[in-house]
Amino acid sequence: MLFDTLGFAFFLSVVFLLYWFVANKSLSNQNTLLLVSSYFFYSCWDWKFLSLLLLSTLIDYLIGLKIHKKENNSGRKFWLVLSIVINLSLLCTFKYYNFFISSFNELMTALKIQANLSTLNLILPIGISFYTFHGLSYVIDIYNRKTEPDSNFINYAVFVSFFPLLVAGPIERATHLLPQIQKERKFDYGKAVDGLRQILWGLFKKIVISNQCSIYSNIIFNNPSIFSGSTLLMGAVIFAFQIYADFSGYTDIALGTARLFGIELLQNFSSPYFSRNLTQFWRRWHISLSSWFRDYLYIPLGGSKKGKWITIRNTMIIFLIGGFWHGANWTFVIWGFINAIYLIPSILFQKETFEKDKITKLKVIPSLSEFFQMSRTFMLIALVCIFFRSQDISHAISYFSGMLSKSTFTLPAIRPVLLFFVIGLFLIIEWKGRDQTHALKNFALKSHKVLRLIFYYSLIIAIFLSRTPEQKFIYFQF
Amino acid sequence: MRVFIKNIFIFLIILPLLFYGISLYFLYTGKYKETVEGSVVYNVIARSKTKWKARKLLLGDSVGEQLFPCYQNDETIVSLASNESIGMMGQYLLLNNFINAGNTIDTLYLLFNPLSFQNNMDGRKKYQFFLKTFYTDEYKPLFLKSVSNQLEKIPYKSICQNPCVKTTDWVPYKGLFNSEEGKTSEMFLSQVSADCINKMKQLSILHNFKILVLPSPVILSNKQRILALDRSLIEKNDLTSDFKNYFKDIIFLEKGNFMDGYHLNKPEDYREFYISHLMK
Repeated sequence: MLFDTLGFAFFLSVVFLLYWFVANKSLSNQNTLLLVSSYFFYSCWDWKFLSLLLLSTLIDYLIGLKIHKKENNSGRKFWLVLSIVINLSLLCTFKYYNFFISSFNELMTALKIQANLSTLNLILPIGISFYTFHGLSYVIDIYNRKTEPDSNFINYAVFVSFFPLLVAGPIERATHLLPQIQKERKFDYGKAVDGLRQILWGLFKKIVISNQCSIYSNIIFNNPSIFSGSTLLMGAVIFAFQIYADFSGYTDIALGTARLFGIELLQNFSSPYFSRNLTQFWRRWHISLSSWFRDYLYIPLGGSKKGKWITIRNTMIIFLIGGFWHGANWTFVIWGFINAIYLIPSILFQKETFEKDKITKLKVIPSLSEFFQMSRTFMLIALVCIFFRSQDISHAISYFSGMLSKSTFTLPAIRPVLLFFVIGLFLIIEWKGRDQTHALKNFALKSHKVLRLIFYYSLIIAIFLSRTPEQKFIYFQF
Repeated sequence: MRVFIKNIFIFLIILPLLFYGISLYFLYTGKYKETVEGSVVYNVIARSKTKWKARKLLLGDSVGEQLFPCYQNDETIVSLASNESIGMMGQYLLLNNFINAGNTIDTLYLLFNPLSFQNNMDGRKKYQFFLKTFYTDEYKPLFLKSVSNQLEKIPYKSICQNPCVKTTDWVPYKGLFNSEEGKTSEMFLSQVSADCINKMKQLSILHNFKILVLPSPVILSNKQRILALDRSLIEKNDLTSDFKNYFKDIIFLEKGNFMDGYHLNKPEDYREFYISHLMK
């Protein structure tokens, strides 16, 4: 059940009405309804993997209670390690087993050693990377005494499998989401309307921007050898917009949906393409994953407090693992590696590392130098995204080699003028809302009601006219 | 809460009217024919109803369309090649239009990838390419019985001509279909394709033209699969002479010549070969 389908709209309407009209008498009823509907939502993808989700939830729930009960550190540590081993084993088996085996076979073949370890016919359970990280953060936070376990299994299960965030995040923390699940929730008109606005903006991003970008990026990326360097460069730029609109669009729908139920999820994007440097970009892109790695990996490894070289090592580790988290393919590892390399100059020269994040605050338009910095950051990200989109390393290399030619200075063969015009309008609205949790939060709120309605209807018409046969969100594969 | 529901209801009630109005605008101005996924089919339908000087007609799938583009005008060959998803039924309807427009045919070329004949007229793509374009009062009486039976398997068939559906790329959810493509797996020819080719043969006898079935280039990695396809329906449907040279004429090319395993990178490189060798 994709977020941008009529099926989901129907499902959401039914759950919403039941939640506020039937189950509103008690918190327990509301949470039970959320859990049942979340499991139903997950079953629509593949009911067979529901048992895996349940098993993972149950294990972390029980281990969380065990850690809390244990007084001595060694006992607590044992249960923590057990949880980490189980969670990562599940993730590695389903997501990385075949990758490790085939990489090992290739290595042995290169060394002229016969090794024919067979791969398994495994399907990647949707959302496993996300709910595994939910469970891990819960157990680690209990171990670190940052939170207490919830003895109510339903509350904990809702935290892990709340349907808006179940398949592609944001990756929530027990310290943030669990207290909201435990607390009574009252309907708030303002929040609900704001949630709908965010859903509308998310749908616009996904259907009007991302899906339309994908038409061109697929043509160009599927066959880089036949296009000129300028077309390939344009393909990289289009893909950069596609992935942002796709993933942030999904996140907007997830956050808006959760808000309809009185729940606030973590912000996952904060206008990353307006960042003036890469440090700023990584504070604004997939924030819930970056902060997860920061809190549970980077800081325990010493963070940036133990000298520059340790900082570089730690940065390299989290980006390599972050890349690998995205998928079992060397292209993602290289994507992570290059991103880490990008950050080394700012670590070495401590440039803007601790800079506050406001992007050209209170300015209507950026200055020329700010615009140049934003464009430079965007282009660096767009170029490294070629690895993210490529099927394998040789594909990415042929793409790059196609760009390193004289033809890069010719006119592109494909010129999607209308698409770039729409992207331009999209960027203007995103720019106006860059300091808000989502672009439409305050957009046009001071305008006359009729004008506002015309704006919303225009977005809906654009969505209606841009509809293509359904395309999965890119991050569903992770 | 009730105010929220009321406001949402008012907001939403306008939407269907708005959508319908826009769809009607696109329908009556005909603009949708350029913007929808099946635009190539609308183009060939319009071309099939035009009077041409050329006496050679080419029908084909999307690879055939690459080799002989349906947006170009040629003095000698009229190309109505469009997409495999319209099936042989769609190809027959185009041929019928072409004849009814007063055109004379010397030779009809059927230029198809070997996997295009598997079309079983019940896949999801048929909704977009066949139902929206041909499931009208104009064409329904011409449908073969076997085709109509297959179309019965397609869900939401009855709303395919609704302006909101016809003028957009909406298709029913894929879980409602047996498959995306709707093909007879390892058979070379589906029964519906065979029936439609025989129907074209009847027209060829009536209007005195010959039919030449030609293969488009195929990726080398598909060679074994294609040669292993079950061809029993060719003989069973009395089409042996029509497909006599078909398999012999297939050009197998390396992967680098294709965009996606089917479509050619540089179709213009092969066009001359087809004209001078295969289409003689």
